[in-house]
Amino acid sequence: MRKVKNIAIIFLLAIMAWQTTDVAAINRFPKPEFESGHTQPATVTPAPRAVFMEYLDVAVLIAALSLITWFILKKRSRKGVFWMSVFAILYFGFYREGCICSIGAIQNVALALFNEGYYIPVTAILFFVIPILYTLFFGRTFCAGVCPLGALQDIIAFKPMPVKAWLEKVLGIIPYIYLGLAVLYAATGTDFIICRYDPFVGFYRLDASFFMFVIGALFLLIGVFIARPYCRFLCPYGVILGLVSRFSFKHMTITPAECINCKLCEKSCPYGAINMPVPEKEKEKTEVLVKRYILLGILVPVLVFAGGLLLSSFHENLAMVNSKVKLASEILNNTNYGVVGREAIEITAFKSTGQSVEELYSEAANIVDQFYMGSWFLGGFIGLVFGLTLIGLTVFKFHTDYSPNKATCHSCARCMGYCPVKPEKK
Amino acid sequence: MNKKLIISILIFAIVAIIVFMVHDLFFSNLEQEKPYELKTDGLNTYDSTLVLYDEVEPIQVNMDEVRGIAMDNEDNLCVTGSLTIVYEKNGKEKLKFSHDSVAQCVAISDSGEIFLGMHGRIEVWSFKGKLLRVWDTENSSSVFFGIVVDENSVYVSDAKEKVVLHYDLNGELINKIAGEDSSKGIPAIIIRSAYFDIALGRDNEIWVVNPGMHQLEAFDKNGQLKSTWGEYSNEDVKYFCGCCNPTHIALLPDGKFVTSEKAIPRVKIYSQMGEFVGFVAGPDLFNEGTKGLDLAVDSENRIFVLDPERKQVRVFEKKKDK
Repeated sequence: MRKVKNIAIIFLLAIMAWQTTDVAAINRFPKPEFESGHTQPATVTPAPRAVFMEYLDVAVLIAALSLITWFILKKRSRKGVFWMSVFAILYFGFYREGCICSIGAIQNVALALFNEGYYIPVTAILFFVIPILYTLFFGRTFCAGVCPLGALQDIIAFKPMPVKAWLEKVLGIIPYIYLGLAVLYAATGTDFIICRYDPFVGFYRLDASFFMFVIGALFLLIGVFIARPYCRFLCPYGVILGLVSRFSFKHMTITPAECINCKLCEKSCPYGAINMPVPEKEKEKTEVLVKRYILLGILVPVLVFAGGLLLSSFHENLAMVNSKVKLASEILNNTNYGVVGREAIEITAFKSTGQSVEELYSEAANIVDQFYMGSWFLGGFIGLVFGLTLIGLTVFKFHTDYSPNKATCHSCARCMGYCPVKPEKK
Repeated sequence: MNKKLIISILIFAIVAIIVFMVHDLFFSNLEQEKPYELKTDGLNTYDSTLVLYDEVEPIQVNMDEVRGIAMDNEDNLCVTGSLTIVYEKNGKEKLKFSHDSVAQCVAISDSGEIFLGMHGRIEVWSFKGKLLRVWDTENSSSVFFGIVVDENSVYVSDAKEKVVLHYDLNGELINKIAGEDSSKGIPAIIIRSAYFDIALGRDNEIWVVNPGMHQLEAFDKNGQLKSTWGEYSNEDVKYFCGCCNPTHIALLPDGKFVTSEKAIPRVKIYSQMGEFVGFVAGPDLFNEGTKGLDLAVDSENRIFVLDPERKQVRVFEKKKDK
């Protein structure tokens, strides 16, 4: 135990020492000369991350995904997943300081799609696409232990407790809204809100606002009892991977062979992502089914339209997050950002640019127009999610054995250890 | 505690986090939070026992724009800006002449020639107000901020190029000092606003302000770095505050430094080693927002501070008991 503690301390010191290199590099002056003849090493200005190092990150991502997929699908090893999680925390977390990250790459892709002037780095595209491809083939092995955010939450889930299915469903809608907002704000060039509210990047960089440190700490504390709270109830990339994973060709299985319904794995999943066997229901009357599906067929488009209509009426409120729209609004309404007794700094800064107020209004009006369109799409998207969730609740899903829910399973491999079935020998 | 209660509390915590995030995204701007705003309240107050100088009658300067001052070896004070005026020791106007454009800085040689740093050029005037020479510098967009003269050389600080130009008295460029040297790993001087003053030391070393680093650097004529001092603090009056200070410097006959700052307009004295000695003038003596406090020192250790807000040259004499 002491040995592990010592290693942890040395590791922490090494990380902190790494952080000091940048500070040392900005020294302008020659260091003092020593009578002993000791010569000081030359000051080095840190260069931007070399291109080959960026591709090294991509290579590491592919290698990590391949290895963890092998651990999950071939070796069926929870231990392997655990150590991959530790690696992800060290490399993508502390070494790469949580950036570049597949979750944040959603915003780069959205901005690039809607803004011709934005040059998206190839590595950002790769970080966005590669986990999706792996998910399409093997399920959410990225979430299992390659994502530094997921990995951190996974290894601190010491005493996971089950959450009621209805509550899971309700809270599960939040990531869709978050994804929609993140795309809207990135596409309009307003903000990268996923990065802004990344709860763990502050730990990895040893630098965050007090607000984000508290949020990160709370997520970790909650994560001890409710496993992966960020992944389940906020992560926008998880939405995409969850959708793709439904169609995964070779998802992990709980049993290596045929399930014997021993129920041992029933409570093994901290995420409630195991489909359990359900007794066959008496078939509903065709008339009732047709009526229900006609009703849902009408309800879903109505929800999409209503969502679009509702959110579009708040598009100006949504647009207020954009600093240019906010500035135009403050100048137009002469509200001076609520500051009394002096001119607000934002307004002083704007005046110093020499840009005319009319130009500002024109630019802000364009952005508000974009938000009008965007909020229709966002509202429609949220309406669709509600509609499809309702359909999902009404559809009877028949299972004869214990199997992972492909959409919500994080492929953490915990359940495998509970299964007494031995693989069939070839 | 039963599981249901724990789960309820934790779910409530998750919802609370999300509510906090939504509030931060949509409503926090309304409160005009400025986490990085310079808090200067504490700096405006200081221990009055640290004030070593008394202010005496100022010199009112009658010109539209005042930019720089310099003292000659007979204690004549030269003020420049939209005009150039020379005052005798008793404050009486001795010479006045106009020039085509506003001069930013001024120096007077031992032979009585007046050197004016303009936008992209240097003008040399006689002590009778006659234009003698104009040096067109290699960069017409140079912003000359400080100028000093010794018996053989003229040093001009260029805030645009972030370098000190070393000329002979005929305007021939000899070398450049304090510039960026990537081969030695020396980065450029950090200038965030166009304040980049220089002064001559007792051993003819050139003291250059690196305002972004809150430091003073001494170079010899060959551009070799000899010494450096200065530290940053937004809390302790002993150090330089804000983004880029000090803005101006001068040296007393005994080698002590006089410095002036902006944001918190104040004038301070530092020892030859760069240790804080005391105040010449605290921020309460200046109008709020005053900046560009150029400095000069006469043979009697009186300190002259140009106050562009009041269009005065403020004069400070050392307290008798200090």
